[in-house]
Amino acid sequence: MNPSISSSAPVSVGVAVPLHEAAFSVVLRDEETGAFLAREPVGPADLVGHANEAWRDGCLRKGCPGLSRSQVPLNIRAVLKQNPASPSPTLCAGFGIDIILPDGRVTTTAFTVHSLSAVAARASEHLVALGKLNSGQTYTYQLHCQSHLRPREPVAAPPVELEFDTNDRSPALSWLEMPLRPLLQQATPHDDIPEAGFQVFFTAAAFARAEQFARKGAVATPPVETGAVLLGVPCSCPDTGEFFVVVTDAYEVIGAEQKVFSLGYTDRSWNRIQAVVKARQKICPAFRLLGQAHGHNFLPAGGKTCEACPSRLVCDLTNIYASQDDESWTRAVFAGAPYALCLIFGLTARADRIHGLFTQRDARLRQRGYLVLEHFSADQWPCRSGVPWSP
Amino acid sequence: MKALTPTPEPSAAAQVPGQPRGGMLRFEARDVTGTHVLEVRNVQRTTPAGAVATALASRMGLPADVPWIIRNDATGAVLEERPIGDQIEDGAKVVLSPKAHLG
Repeated sequence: MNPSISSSAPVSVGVAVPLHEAAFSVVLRDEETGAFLAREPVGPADLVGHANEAWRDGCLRKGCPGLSRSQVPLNIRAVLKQNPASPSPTLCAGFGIDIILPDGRVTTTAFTVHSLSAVAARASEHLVALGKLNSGQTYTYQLHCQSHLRPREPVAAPPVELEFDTNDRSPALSWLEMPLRPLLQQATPHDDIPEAGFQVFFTAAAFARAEQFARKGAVATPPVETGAVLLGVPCSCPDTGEFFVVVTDAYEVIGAEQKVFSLGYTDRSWNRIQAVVKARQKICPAFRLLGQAHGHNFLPAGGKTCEACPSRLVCDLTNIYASQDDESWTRAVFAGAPYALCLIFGLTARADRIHGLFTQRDARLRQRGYLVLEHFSADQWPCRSGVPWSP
Repeated sequence: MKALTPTPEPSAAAQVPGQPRGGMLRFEARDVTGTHVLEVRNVQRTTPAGAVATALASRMGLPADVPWIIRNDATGAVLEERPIGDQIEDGAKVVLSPKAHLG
């Protein structure tokens, strides 16, 4: 058993198989009765985010930023629960994705059952559509590994495959080679940074600009969501091999569809963003889009505070959360870029200004801390690039 | 004396590898972050742009649960739901964008 996969319950680790041969399914049960409701297969598309995260933590962060995602073979292993009371030998506590690096090291990124909550949600939507589950009815879900079952794609009909030829011309990642320790020493940490998480730095100026643009919509009547794209550089530490990002600038998203509870980038928004990125990449190829910031400029609960409000130092009724739309948007826009940032500026019910940074962890956007640099110059560090992969 | 054996026309499949077939479209497609870039060849000009967008998203391994649109990188114009060959030139560069919003 690999020690990097752990669980509080007794477990055993299954046989490693290539990721595309993973044979998992999510089983839904009625929360009250425990009755079986549905079994939803976990398809390859459901594991794309997991694979990218494993690449980030098991490859980019292990001193191999030049290896593209396609260059590293991924294997998956179930973490099976060993519960004598359970008759099911297939019940999983989670799973791990292994990467074998060129020097022979094997890294494992562990995932919990919760990382497949989207699969459970998809199954529940089918059940609701079929009238077998009421909207709002609660259910539980379990993860099962059945090696005798072949994986299949989700129930939804696959798109009709057009016939045409493609060659992959995806560029290798470019990054700045920069020691991490001096940055950590001079930066100011904000909020709790997960021990195993990759480091995220903002320059103070970039953070201030992001907040300025994200909160711009607060003055509209009614308030609307506004935002900025976060730009900067991925970096690799030559001493530790650690991979991290530094946000050096924020640009307002112009021409966006701004609503009270949503923000949609238009073609005008993207045209400007891409013009900026292209121009900056001519000077520094490592410069890239690292994420986005947006403002939840509405008051949570309509601004209705609780009775204890006058005596409370901190109001915990907030609108700082990554919505399902934020998850979908991040997965779509930053597919293959698992270091993407989602920075949300919001309010408490009594209009205190608060914010939160979210990054992918356990295949979901999770809130975490970050560091702020008063001064940062990217120019002094060498820019490196991996070799584009050709099959 | 020449034998009067009819010589069949070269079929569409008997093409030079790597070369676009006659009447087909060739272009470069990338996603909005420039992480995925595909050289695309032999696309039927009559194919609706939306169908091409969906197929490209699939080839790039992008999520299938959001709709995708294609923008012409040179003009910034979003391609409409009509034949792609009427909207971009051979050799064009296009960008695949998700039709999604932040919440």
